[in-house]
Amino acid sequence: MRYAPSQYAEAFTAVVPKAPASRRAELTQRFLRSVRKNGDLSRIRQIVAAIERRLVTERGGAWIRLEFARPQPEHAVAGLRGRFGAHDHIEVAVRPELIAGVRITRDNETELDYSLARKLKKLFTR
Amino acid sequence: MSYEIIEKLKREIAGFRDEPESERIGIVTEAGDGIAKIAGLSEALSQEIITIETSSGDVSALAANLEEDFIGAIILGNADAVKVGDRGKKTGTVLSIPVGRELIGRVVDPLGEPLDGKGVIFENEENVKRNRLERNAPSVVVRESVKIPLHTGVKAIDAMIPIGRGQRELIIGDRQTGKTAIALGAILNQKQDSVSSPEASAKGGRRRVICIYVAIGQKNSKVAKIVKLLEEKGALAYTIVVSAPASAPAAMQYLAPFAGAAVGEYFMDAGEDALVVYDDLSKHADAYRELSLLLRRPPGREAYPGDIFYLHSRLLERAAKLDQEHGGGSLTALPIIETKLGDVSAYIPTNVISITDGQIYLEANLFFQGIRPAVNVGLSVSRVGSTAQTKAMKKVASRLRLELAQFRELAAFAQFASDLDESTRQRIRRGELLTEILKQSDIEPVPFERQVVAIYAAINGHLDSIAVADAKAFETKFLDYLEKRYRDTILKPIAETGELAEAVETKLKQAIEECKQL
Repeated sequence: MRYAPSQYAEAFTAVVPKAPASRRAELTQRFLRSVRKNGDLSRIRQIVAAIERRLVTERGGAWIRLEFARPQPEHAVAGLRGRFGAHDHIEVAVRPELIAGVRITRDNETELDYSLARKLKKLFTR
Repeated sequence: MSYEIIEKLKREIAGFRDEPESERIGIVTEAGDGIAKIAGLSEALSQEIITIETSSGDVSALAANLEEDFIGAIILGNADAVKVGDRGKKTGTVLSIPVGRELIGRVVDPLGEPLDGKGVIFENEENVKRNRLERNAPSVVVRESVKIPLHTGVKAIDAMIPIGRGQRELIIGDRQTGKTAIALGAILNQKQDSVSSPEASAKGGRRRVICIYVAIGQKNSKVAKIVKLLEEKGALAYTIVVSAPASAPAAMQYLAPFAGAAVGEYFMDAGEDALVVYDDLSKHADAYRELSLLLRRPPGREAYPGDIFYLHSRLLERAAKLDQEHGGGSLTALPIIETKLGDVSAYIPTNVISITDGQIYLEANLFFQGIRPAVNVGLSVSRVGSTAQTKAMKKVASRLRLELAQFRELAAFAQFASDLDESTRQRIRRGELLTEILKQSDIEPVPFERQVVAIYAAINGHLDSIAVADAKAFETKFLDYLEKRYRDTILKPIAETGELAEAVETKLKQAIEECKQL
């Protein structure tokens, strides 16, 4: 049977974070060995992403992605970061196709699009 | 002029108000082979259209697999443009096709886009009616029994395996046995089969049938040839071609018959009669298998997914004859299945045989013996069509099946016997004559009234004095003679009333004798 990244993440988060700090490295190594044994090492990035996401959710936070059309000065990003909760995971990306403005995505499910690209698209598809 | 455009643009921009709202989205996590896996979109509906925003524009996709964390979507547009990380959005609509009379004479893809280079189909797209590709079949309450014939122009079929309007009749056979030719013949025959008089129409007579030819996984050259043929014969005036050729993605091939059914339903709902030919459902099943395997659905027998039966049954159930309260329209389906080495017991053929109301079985052996159309009368059947057969045809063809069955048995027996009694020889000769009369050229449908008189002459022994080799020539001469001398007294009454009245029969006997003297 092939396990999905979400199943690996569920197993990892159920054991490793709750174990004593001294045992975490050993448990992580055993986890990686089982991933390799199952032939899923090629999907390790997806598995790690799923674990990160799960850890954030378990802490009560949300996975926030901020996308700008061009690189932003650190203080501007910091100002935006401050508007989110302490447990939220903030990720910043540059997407030139947005032209201008910002697009905010929460948990890969909900988005608020303040980009110029969206406005132009809406204007021309009216 | 440019000033006006700029001013208009300025006004548009000035009046533009946009308040961004929170939207549900999904992120493409895997893309390839025309399939996209989209994480998120947990509220997507089955068969909902998803818009994927790619760097080269929006691409539509069809939500096929709804799973806990992601959906598997079939990409309907440029699949190469979809990349991992692209966003997908719900549209809240399910797949539909624009329908209307404007489609007649056009070649379209399963999404309703023109493929014939004749320009846009609908001038005002916004006001066009759209029919869903997936729609529930008419319920039992709104249906009535099949009672009006749909003549194919093929003597063997109209006489022994009659098809009624609203019926589903499978055409099955190996490659190169004339399956498409029968379906095309049926389309061409509709031009000459409708009754012209308003009285006959008012009595529920045969109205003009709108035909839809759905090409699934066919060669582009074959589709082009078919369109050319329909155009040359004047059949494109009442025919629509839905094409998803072999070069089209599997998704288009999967959708094509549903698009054909949706177009046919438009005419059925409008109280008209429609005929839809699915050429062919074997390739359709293959396309669906490909999609299902790519969507990682569990494979079943011959690697087809578990719902392959439901796929074809829900498609063919849409063929129906509606009652008068619901307009009295009908949708007749002629699905085609290609068998491998005559194996009708394979998975898809048995499925479709059990779904349809009968089958026309074409045999390669008969084809190579020169019996064309190569219909195997013993294995072919029409379960509901006999009630729709016209009285005239019933009168002349009721004994035909039995005569041919007896002939086949006696012919097999006669191979081992040297001395045969007179009555056996007579029966074998009659069988040979009937077989000869039932032969006809490809894509040359014979009008119903001509079929009646030809079969009448053969089955009642009027041609017994003619050599089997000359039977075909006599038939041609006889039909020409009738056309010239008895058009209004024999052929027209049969065509209009669908009956072979005694007075007409007497004249017919007289005409046969006259023709034999010539």
